Amino acid sequence: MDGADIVLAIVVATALAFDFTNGFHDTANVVATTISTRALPPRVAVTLAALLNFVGAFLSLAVATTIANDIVDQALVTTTIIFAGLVGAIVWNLVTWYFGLPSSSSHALIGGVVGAMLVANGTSAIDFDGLAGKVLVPALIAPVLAFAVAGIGILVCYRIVGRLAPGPVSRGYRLGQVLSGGMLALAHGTNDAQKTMGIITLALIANGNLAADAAVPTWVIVSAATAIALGTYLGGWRIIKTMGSRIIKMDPAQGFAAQSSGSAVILAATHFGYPLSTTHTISGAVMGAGAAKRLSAVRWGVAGNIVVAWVLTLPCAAIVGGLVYGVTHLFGDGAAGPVIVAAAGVAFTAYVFVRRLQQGAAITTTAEGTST
Amino acid sequence: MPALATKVVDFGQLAEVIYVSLIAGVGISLAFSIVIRGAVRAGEHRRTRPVVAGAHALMAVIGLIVVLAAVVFGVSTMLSK
Repeated sequence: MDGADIVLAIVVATALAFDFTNGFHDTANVVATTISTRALPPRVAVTLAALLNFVGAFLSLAVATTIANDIVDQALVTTTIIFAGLVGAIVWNLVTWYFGLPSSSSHALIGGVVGAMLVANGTSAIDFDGLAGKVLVPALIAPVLAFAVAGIGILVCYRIVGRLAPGPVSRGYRLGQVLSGGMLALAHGTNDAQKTMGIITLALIANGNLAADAAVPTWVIVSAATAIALGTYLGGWRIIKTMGSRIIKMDPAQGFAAQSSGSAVILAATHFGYPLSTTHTISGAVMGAGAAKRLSAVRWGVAGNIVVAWVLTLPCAAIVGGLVYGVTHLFGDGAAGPVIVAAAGVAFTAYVFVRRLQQGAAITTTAEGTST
Repeated sequence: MPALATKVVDFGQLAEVIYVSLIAGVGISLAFSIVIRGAVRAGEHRRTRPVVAGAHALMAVIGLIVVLAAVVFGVSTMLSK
């Protein structure tokens, strides 16, 4: 095994680590409303989401290189740049997870790769029009559109079932949430596991292990699906609490309206080839479902923190990605840089997890807002 | 500035995403609410007014078909991506 193969192995491991953080970070958004309205017990909801994420990863096998397409000059992409971008994304995911804030893992990955690319090749390697059109504009559109759709949706729900006995109505919407939450989890698995598959495939092509037009290897599909499903199953409780009860206290109708609206927006955008963030969409839908009932029902301070995290995601991940590339490059073009940075990254991740565990274990939420 | 905006953003595609999202998102909330209303009302009238109960049950079934069709469309959209 030569230096290039060692770097490739580190990139693959880092990509799977990113996929894992993507699972426990983003999928929390998907199941939070299901848990907070008691549509499903927490462990059942998370297990179901993990299974659907796993299945979703196999649904579409088109090579997902869109992270690099239209944003950076692919001819200049190296395994070291991919590695630095992944580390930038993982660090930002851990920071936002630590504070319980939902932020886009896709934006973190794009930010990390753009930052590393800027340090490696300068501004000429970045397609700023692509960055604006594919990332920044959708980041503005997704939450606003989901907010509006969920807001109108919940008003329609209340209009139709408003005079019925609350018991059967709540049971009905809880049942609906199993379906709408399942659709969200499936869409998430399809979208996000694909990004990791694309990144690993890109690294294999860059290293000469695969031809440029090669299909995604089966081991890549299985490992990416497993990593995102495992991450989903094991974590995300802090963000589940933020999404499920800190923004608004949801009733089952609001949970259903938020999830079904979020699914509709994501799938409509997918159908027309317009890239939207799952995180931004479902966060906007949750706020919309709350605000339509009563503006003061939304904790705008928490919503503001989430928006700040969204705004900071790209630049912060880019800064970390750029720094990691710079540090890696100090050790030359061989395997030494990635090995040292990866070892430091593992130590940092372990430190964050241990600190988090020392501060508090799993968080549970209830529809009535009592949380422990 | 408008030329730059047009170059960066495909406004036609964006408009399509907005109106399809609105129709689909609000439509699924409407259809599922009709399912719940139909089922609850059918249960309430089952013994006293069987014809009214039947009409509500029919309404619930139609709503359910719309919801299931939306789910099938959603999964097929994911598959065709």
